[in-house]
Amino acid sequence: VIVGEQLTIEVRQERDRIVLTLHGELDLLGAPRLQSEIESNTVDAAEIVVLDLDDVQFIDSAGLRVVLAAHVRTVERGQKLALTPGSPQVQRLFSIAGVSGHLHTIASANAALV
Amino acid sequence: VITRPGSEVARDPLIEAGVLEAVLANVAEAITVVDSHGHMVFANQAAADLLGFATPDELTRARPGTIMARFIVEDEQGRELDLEGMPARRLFRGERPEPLLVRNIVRATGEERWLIVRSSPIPDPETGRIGYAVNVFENITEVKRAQLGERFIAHTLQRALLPESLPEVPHAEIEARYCAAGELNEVGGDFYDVFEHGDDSWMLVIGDVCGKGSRAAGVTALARHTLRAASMGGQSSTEMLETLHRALRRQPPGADLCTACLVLAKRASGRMRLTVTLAGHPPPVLIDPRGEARQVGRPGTLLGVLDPIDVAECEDELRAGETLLLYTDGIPEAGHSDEVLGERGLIELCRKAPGLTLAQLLEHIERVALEHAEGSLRDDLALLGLRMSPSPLR
Repeated sequence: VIVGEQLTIEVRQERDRIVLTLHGELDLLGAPRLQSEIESNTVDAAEIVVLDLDDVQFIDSAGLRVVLAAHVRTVERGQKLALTPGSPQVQRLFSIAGVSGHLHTIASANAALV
Repeated sequence: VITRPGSEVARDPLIEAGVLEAVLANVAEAITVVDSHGHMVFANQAAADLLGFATPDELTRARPGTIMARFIVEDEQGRELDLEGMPARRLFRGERPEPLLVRNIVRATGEERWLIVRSSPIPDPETGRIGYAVNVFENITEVKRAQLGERFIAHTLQRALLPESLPEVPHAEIEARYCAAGELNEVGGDFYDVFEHGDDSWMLVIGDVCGKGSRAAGVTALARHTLRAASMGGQSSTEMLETLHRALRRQPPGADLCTACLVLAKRASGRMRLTVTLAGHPPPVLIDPRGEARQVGRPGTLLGVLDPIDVAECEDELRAGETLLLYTDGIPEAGHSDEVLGERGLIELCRKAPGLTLAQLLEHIERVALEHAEGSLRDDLALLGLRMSPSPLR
């Protein structure tokens, strides 16, 4: 496995939401890290969950799978999930996967959810 | 004992009293110490057991060279190794040998063991040269057997996941290539298939199940065979994908993602009518005889996670001498994340198509992707190509 820049996740509580800011690569190695954050009590307790993907350099199918799992989980728990757009590579992957219409994208981590 | 000014070494009297030797005698790993002439000056009981001697004393009294003769020693690739290739000898030659994995067969009994041999130097305090080498033999036979067994199962499964042969299509050629990612992930989730789908029509399928190992292998088999069965039932491309989506949704939860690309190729006068339907899968590339390449199909929802799926059947045409290339994301994603081959890189490669046979084109793309990955693939690679004969059909 080619090891790229390891994923780090910053978690912060904003006024009405919890923001997970991802830095690095959301790939096979980084995906489990995001998964465990998503399943944490802090995230479970939030009404709105934002994944800030603007500093994600690379995402692969394993990363996509965790983002979709987060989507499914938040829908089931009656939470709202929003993503920031991310790099062109991230956007292209979501577009090929045909999931852009299912995911709620906001311009920046603190933008309002329409 | 050497002492340097300011670094008085206080030796523990217990160690002086031979406690250290007693510790070494009782560790589970086989340990030997040899001098630069190859004489064994120390061995523990585990070493005697491993090398077939009753006691450590018997082992250390054996003449150098006679011990190794009791065994066939090979590296992982099955090349025989001699004493000079052992880490201890290499240490004395001034090298810094890595731990060595060896397959060791006892000549007398035929028993096979897998060992990791590590050697570290003990410098002579007087000369500073290497006086002794400490060998530690770790027996990993159990681990290695399990690994080899798993690999065998994986290869067998893989063969079941891919078609044994591709059908003949008149006035056209079909080729496929498949390359699994690293040995840790032996069974990949990529699959492809080609089968007849109604009169004078063929269905080309390529797909990718996210995940690895036996669970992904099971889902991959489900995907391939569900699509085949749906085709036999006379379903359209969209219906086939919906059927697969429902089948995946009935699997136990665990978010099994599956992407698929279906291309229905129907023979028409002088060309083939194509219907391209994508479900979360990167778009195929259509290459004309001059090497101009473009992507075909419109993005559709991947299968198995989100309801409802939304896919579109796009019509296109494959004319004489043109090539359609289906692939999995392992191709554009090959390489380090900040310089992957990319869809653009793939299209560039396709421009070379006119000078190559279809088989050569696929081989070329696979080779470039592997070079890009520097031998370390993130994901499997699969390629499926359809090329119309240069002369128009009658």
